[in-house]
Amino acid sequence: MDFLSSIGETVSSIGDKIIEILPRSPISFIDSNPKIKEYISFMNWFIPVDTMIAMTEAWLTAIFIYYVVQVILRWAKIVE
Amino acid sequence: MLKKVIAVLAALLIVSRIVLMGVSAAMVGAGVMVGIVAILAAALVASGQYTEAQVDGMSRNEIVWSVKNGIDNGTIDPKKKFPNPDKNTVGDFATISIVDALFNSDRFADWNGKNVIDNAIDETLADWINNNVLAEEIVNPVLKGDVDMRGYGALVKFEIHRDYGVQSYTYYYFVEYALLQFNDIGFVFSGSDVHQISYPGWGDAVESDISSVSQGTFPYSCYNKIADPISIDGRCVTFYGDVRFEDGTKVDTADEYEYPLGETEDGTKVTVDMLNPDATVTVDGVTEKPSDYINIEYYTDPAVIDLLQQILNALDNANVAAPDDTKDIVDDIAGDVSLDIASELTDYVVPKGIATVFPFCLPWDFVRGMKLMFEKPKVPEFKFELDFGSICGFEIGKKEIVISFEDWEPLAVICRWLFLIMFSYTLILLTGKIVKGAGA
Repeated sequence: MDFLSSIGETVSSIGDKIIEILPRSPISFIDSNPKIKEYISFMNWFIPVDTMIAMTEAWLTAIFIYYVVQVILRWAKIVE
Repeated sequence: MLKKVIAVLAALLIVSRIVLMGVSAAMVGAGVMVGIVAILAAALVASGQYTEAQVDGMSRNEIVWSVKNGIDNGTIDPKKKFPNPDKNTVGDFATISIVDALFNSDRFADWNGKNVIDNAIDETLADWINNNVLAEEIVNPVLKGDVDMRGYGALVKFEIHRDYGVQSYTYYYFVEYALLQFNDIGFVFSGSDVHQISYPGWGDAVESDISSVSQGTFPYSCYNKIADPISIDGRCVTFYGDVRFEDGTKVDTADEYEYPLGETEDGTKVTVDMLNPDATVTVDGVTEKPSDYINIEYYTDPAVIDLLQQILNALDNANVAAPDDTKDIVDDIAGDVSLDIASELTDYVVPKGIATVFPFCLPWDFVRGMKLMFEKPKVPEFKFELDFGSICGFEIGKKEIVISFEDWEPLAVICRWLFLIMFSYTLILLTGKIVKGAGA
């Protein structure tokens, strides 16, 4: 039991070291910058990117459902 | 190739949604935790157990643990700083809900051995008579208990029938969340707004304001016309999002009101939703620490006292784990406390650990990137400051130039619709190709 917990601790410390070496996410830096959000809001005033993204999400969901249904129907040999 | 790309995007979207649901739950908990920590830090300083410098150096977990430890070992008494309404000590501040007391007066029956509202009303009437506000003897004052929600808490109306020989009425309105201060001579209404409308029984109603309704002085004077509640002075009507009666019914409150924690040096009001994850606040690019702007004096206010009592009660009852077990603390507190924390705080909370490093951060970054694009559209406005110096001997100096696209709103509407129509047309064309290809 002690052996297993020591292995677990070793793996965990190796994981922590790997996380320290890997580069940080750049998006969190962009996300916390209020100026960038301000300019995005200006852009959204002309080009409704937020609406377009919402429409894309709905469209992708519909396509995904279509594919899933198609796979099920093909598996059931209802369609070829 | 296009079909494969579309399929991958669709799968990524579905997975991201599932991940987001799980992350959002943790982030809301963490967001609540962030908002709580700023307030707990101020409470620690206010308790006198820690200096501001000591609290600034504490991690989030240490602050929570310090408050919990302090309560457990008796060195921090939240009830002393934020007294329970049932406590009755001369010199302490106590807060009650007037509406609550009026409709449930038996709850306060043993407060100082008397019914507190009856006592307050009697003293108020006596004072009005002494100050010639009421010239006639009061006959049968009647507390009607009508409650008029005007979006700023509760207004309680009570009638006093004065005998002029004809039937006449006087209405007095009290705003919810009055602060009652005990002193040597009795009760003092402070911070409440009172308005008087007299109906003399003939002619039109006479409307007037009352400047003082009890012994002692009003620390804040607020004169309000009932017909225009927007003009209510915020210092008089103090509440926050979750104002409730005893039976749990929520009182309608104005959503636009934001309770200020304090203000920066240039007078900018700082509100709870402006707090950063580390409990600092950034105004116009300048980051300040809590000690610079949170005014401890505000914590005598009943609305914040109520909020802090909820938090501290939740800490008392929560199963707080060891200091290095942050997740359990967040889960316990987030499960026991329901607070209205501004949603903007959740955007600032970054998950710890593997989710912050590349390439494991990709799902969270994808979600964050999408949410970044969902900013509310704002009219573009650019400000420049130009120094013109002096021209022909006339000193002009620095002038601010503002370029605003507000007048181009009709064009922007046309642009938005055109882009949406073109985008929809593109999606329609793509759908045809994908469906045809998949059906083959």
